[in-house]
Amino acid sequence: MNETAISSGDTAWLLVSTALVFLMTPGLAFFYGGLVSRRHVLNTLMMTVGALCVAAVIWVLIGYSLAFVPGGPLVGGLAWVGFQGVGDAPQSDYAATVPHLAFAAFQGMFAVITPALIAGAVVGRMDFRAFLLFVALWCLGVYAPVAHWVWGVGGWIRASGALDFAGGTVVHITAGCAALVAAALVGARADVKRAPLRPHNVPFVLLGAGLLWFGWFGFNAGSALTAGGLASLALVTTHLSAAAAVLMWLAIEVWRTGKATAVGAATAAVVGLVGITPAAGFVSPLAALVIGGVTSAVCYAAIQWRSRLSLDDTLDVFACHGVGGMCGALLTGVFARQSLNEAGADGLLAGNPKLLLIQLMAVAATLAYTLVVTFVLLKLVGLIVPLRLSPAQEREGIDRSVHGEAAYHETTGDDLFDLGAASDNLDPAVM
Amino acid sequence: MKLITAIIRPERLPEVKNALFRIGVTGLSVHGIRGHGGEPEIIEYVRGQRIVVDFTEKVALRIAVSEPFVEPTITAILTAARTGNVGDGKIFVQPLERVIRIRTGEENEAALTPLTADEVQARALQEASGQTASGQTTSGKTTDHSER
Repeated sequence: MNETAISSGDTAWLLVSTALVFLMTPGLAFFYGGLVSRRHVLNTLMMTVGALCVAAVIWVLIGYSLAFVPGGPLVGGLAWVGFQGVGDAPQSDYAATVPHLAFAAFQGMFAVITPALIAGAVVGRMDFRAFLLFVALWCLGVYAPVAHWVWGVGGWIRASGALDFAGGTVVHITAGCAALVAAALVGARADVKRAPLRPHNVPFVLLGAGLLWFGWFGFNAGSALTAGGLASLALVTTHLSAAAAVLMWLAIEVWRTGKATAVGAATAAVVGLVGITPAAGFVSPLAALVIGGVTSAVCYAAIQWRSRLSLDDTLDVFACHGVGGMCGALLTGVFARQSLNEAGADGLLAGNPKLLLIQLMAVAATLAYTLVVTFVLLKLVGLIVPLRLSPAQEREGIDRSVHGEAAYHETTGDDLFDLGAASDNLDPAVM
Repeated sequence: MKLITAIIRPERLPEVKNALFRIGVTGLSVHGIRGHGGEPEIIEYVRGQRIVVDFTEKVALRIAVSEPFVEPTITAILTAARTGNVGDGKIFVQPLERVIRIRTGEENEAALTPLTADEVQARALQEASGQTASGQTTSGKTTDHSER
């Protein structure tokens, strides 16, 4: 390891970014929690928080080592197991001006939010123990290897020249594809036909989206790993892409349904942030506007397509993160300019169509690997703990049957309505 | 004695309450309910998906009144709750077998306020001559009870 001078500015920014990225997971919990019904909200929050804690522990114990130890093309090594040897001294292969520990912690937050994203596909019906076990295995079997491919020294995608600034491939494509498999293997909600997804708390959705947007500045601008021009570029492109995505989405909604919805705006903000993630430090602010707008339109179409399938990816994790991540990765290959970032490359519009092909190859490989390994891991988990709640537990509502709690205790008409039962404080004559 | 159940639009509740209080009917319970009547379904959109909301939010009032107050109560609700559009609601009138005031054990007519139109008028005059108009709430009812 080179003994390079630690920059207190860079370190401060990276530590702040680490905290910002952490906040995205609770933000995601509220984003997801608001979208589900009143009877599933606690499970939705708990799946997200549970994934956070499991992934945090796994990351320190072995995940970071598998992902970032300089090594072979497929996986890192065991040198940094338990964060041994990860200390004050910078690791110049990754971030020469900050303590190695700060870099490892920052990366750990990415490892946390990625499995948490998957929860959105299976809320309200997956066994909680099975989900936590799955998260632990998935961090080791999918996240760490793919992170190594894309970011680790020696990783084959990194060596191929593919660009992924802040995790469009590593975070969003893996989470989206895993969500697709999880939704298929866990199966649809028992009442999916009878009770379409109707958000129980739209303000929660917007609160969550706001926290995600805020945290994403750490996610993307923090990925510069220095506090300077590159972080500034990433922050600006991140912000613009989200804003453009919201405007595009609302325009589509007004055109198709006549209503500009709050859930639509929140969804679009997230989708715009997903789209810019791989590109944030490689493209111009104007390109970010296009990336946000295009990703928004593509994800809107993907959600409409998914809703016609029997596949119950309940909160459209694949359509938002999988499709949005792929869209962003490919658009990075279109709009990247090396003049903006020396570590980047020129894309299609800068006269280098080859980058687009490399991006496509990275996307396809990640997609295929994630689908296959997630399938195997879920089957494995299913041998130990059933993936699915019993029909009786599901009928009772997962918050009560699994967590033994209810989010809302008041017996309002709303509550009774959700339970589908007329109770004795409603006069039969009134019904 | 009759039990009058009125299902009205939530946004008309303040007007209906005022109309009932004006005629001296101050004892009522209010329930938020959902139901289905003749009005068209409500359509919501979630991420571009159309969701039909089967049940509309309504407010149900339950009012127990003595015979002289049945028609005035109905008239008050009709005028205050009506918008003229489908979905204004319904009024159900049912016979009431027995009423007991828990505080005193009084039964039937004695347990219902007000008793007669004269009493209402007397109280209105009393209020006009001194008390504030807002005295018509719970405290107003309590005064009424203690008089008897």
